[in-house]
Amino acid sequence: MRKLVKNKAMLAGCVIILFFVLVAATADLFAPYDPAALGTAYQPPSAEHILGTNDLGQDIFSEMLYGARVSLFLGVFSALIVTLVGSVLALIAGYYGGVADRIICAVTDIAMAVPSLPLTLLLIAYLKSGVFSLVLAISITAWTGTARILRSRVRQICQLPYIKIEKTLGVSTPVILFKHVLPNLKDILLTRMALSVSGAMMTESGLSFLGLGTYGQKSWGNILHFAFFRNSILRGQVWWYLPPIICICVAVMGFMLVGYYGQQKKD
Amino acid sequence: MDEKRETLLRVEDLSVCFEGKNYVQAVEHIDLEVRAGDRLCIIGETGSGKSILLLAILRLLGPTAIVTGRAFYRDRALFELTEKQMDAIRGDRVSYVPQGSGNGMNPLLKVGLQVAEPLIAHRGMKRRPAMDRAVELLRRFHLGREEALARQYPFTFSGGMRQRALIAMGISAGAELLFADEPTKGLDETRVKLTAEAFNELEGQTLVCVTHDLSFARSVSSRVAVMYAANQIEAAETEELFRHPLHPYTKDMLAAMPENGLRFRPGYAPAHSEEKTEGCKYRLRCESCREKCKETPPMFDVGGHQVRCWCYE
Amino acid sequence: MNDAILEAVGLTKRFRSREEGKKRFTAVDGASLRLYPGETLGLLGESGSGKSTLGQMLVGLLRPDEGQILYRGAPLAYPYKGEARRRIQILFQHPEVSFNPQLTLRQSLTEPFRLRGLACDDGALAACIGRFGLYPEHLNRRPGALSGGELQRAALARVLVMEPEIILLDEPTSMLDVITQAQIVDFLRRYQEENGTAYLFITHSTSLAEQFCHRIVRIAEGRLQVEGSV
Repeated sequence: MRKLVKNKAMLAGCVIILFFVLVAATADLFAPYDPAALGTAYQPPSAEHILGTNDLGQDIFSEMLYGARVSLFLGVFSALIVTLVGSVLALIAGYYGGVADRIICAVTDIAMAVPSLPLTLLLIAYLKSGVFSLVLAISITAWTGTARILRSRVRQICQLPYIKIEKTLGVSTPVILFKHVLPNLKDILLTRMALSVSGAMMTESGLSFLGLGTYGQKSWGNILHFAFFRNSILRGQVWWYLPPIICICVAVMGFMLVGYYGQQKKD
Repeated sequence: MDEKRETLLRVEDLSVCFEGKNYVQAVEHIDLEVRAGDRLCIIGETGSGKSILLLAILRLLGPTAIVTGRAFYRDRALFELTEKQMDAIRGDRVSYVPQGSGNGMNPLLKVGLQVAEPLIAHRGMKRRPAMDRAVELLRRFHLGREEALARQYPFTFSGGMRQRALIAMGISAGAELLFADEPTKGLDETRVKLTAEAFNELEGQTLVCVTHDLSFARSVSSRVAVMYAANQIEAAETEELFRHPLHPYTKDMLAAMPENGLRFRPGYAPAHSEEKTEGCKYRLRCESCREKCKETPPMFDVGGHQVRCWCYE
Repeated sequence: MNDAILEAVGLTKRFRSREEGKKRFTAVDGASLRLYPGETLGLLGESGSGKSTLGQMLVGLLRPDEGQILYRGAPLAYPYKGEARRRIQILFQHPEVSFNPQLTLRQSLTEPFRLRGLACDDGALAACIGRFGLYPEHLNRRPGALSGGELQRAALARVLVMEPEIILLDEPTSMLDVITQAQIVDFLRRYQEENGTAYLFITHSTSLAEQFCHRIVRIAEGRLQVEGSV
């Protein structure tokens, strides 16, 4: 019974992710307009513009398709960095223990204690605006959870007889880490990775909504930002503010479902 | 044997199998009878189905297990009770000491309270005297500094301490029938002795204990049943069984004990999955195997000593 | 008597204590012992006596806080390298976690062959496990699909590829049934007769130690007590 549930959750998550990835990959094929092209502003949905137009007369449907690219890229790329940094630190801390472990734990604790939103905001304010500064700003505080969870798991694994036997056989440290420790982390890595993507996407949309996102490149958060600051809610322009909200929610849920599967398998 | 003592537990033709990718027959056609005051040890190696048998009787197996046969506690057919009635029996008259020292305790409750809980729940004792009684029980198992320990949480206990605290929990309410699953697993020699002493001090309680530790079984039981590859192959009074084992497997097992010189015959045990074949399960390793052993032997009675082997036809 | 192959002088290991009040607790306190080629030395103690900690220091899994370990008379530095690393091996109590669960038996067994630069074809692998009553079809299974007895035999086969001179046996039979235990002890004895391997046998079972060991050292609260022959 439980197996079925987790498989269903996993399947649903994968379908959602795959859908958005396809959308992002094929945006230029299916987008009816160039999302930057100007036209008649504030048009409600029609046959010409499926989701109407925004304040500059840009086609919202095309914006949404291209926005998927930026949003997904930001989420996945940040998650990759977060997972990479987290697992490298976790492997070092968990395998070597001692001083290395104490230093890494201390750094993690400090990074965890720093309020993440102000730090992110500050970084963005100082960095050149662009996708990569956004990725940096998102990842800089997000790696702590991954590092901490992975570290305790690595520590557990390193206490197991099979790792000790590898050591006495004289297997080199990199081989132990990459062949014997890392593969046994794959469930937890998948979980953390998926949850990091959804976390990063949330942060990104939050930042973009505040106007601190990617100028020039349209992400879903960015669309929402303009919808909100052009009073689309007061004007009742549902077609403008609802699509980005729905897309963000569904995509985040997709990654969370995949993470949920990994978490269940761990038990 | 005193035939007047009442029968507390009767198991008739109990079988358990697990469905799934690999169909596993875990327990096959077991009959048992336990009278008040009996101390029965079920011995067998890992995977012989002895723990599954215990869990099946107590209806603690998961939904993938298919249990057939009947089990009675006094006159009550255990497999026909509702879940609620079963819970009432399990907590009050019958108690169960689970295997392993890890999961049997609630990590968020102090140990003393957990040991005292059955007293409060089933005997209506007040908290204070129940706690005193819990400390007394812990002392019986020689945990050391019992008063302080009773106020600690399970994570501060070592595996062996937790195991003994679990036994204390099992006997605290004075259930008349105590089931114990591998109570000595992971304990060292001295602690095994202490556990055996504690079991031997229990009076008026009937014990059904599953173990792979032969010397422990000898020191606590009055009767022993031997299981091999899902089958019960021998049952007798403890001393009779240890002095005059009848089944070839029991003989081999006793000879291999360190006390008896670690003797064994060459050849490795085939995996249990390879023993699905009809007939005596031990015949692939048995020295007195013959043509007849391809048929499943019935239980023969040799002067009160039961054995499932064609040698005693 | 021959010279000791492995000698420990005043080994001490302290750990940070979990209990409040005490800051550190001494797991092993000034342990000295000698292990000679071809003998089985029993290290007998209860759980928590420090016997496993001492064992892990001797095989180079833990760095001693004080004291020295000599291999063939020469001091060993932690971590062990070269010849000493190959010649000193360990077998653990829990066979089910003695193999990487992600790898098949074949993959795990290939590792020591590769480390020694030996040819590792199906024939070599089959011979390696064959003397322990395991079959080539076992090679494609993962640890989850093998029994405890089978895994412990495979773990022993794997360690023997290194041709060790010293094997630390950390309660290798305590999780096995008595018949498998007798078989493994018998194999270890015969292997010792042929190869002159020295065993340090950690156990809590007096009867087993008396059967198997030439000498027994008792350990309690981190201190070695008696050294005598059986």
